[in-house]
Amino acid sequence: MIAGVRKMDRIRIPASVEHLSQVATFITALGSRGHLTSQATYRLRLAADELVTNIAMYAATSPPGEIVLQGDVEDDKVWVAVANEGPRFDPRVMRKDRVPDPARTGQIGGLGLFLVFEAVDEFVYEFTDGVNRSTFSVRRESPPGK
Amino acid sequence: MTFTASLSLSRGTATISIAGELDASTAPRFHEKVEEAVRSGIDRLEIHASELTYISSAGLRSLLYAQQKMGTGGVIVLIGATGPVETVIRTAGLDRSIEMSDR
Repeated sequence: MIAGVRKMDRIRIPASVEHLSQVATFITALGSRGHLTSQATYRLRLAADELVTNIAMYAATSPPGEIVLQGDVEDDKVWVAVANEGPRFDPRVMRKDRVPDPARTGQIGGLGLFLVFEAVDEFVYEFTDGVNRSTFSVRRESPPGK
Repeated sequence: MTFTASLSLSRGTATISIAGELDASTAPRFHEKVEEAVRSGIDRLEIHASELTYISSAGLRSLLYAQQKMGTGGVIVLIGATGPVETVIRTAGLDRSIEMSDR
């Protein structure tokens, strides 16, 4: 590690919903470090939760693959990246421009990913060398004295 | 992940009290209670959620399941959901078909 450069937060978990508590712990710690409001931390957690759940449910392998979460705090935002090896899947294909009416339409599929895009302030997707990587962020309020 | 769900039945009304965090890992426990309630032939489902601190789409799916099974004649009331939990439910549009109540 280069002196003066802080290592970003990073965890590796099996692609299983049974490990969502680790996602929660990771995001909560990151939110605390970034002095996020509880609502902003919730939004970040929800996005990570839905992406991890989507991978676990729809990119399932036997045994389960792995998901890597990384995150860091910048002056204006806290960002998180969720990465997994597997077939290319761009979550943005599920992005909807209007509020769903799942009770009326019976359309439940895609609800989780819809919530991702409602929760975050920025979202970037990349597919490189067989790895899907979604990076998203929520804005920080100005920290005291800055 | 802490989550609890309890069910009581009385004269066509089911009451499910949920507390803690409702995500894809804990949602099966909630779904079990919802299925049991619906199977008993209720026409009203009250869900007490004042102690629910987190919900994701996994929890919303069970609410949608109940709504579909109970049909247009059934009433679902979500009581006490606040803060980000309430926001998620409204963002997903569930407040169009599920009654939201403070108490």
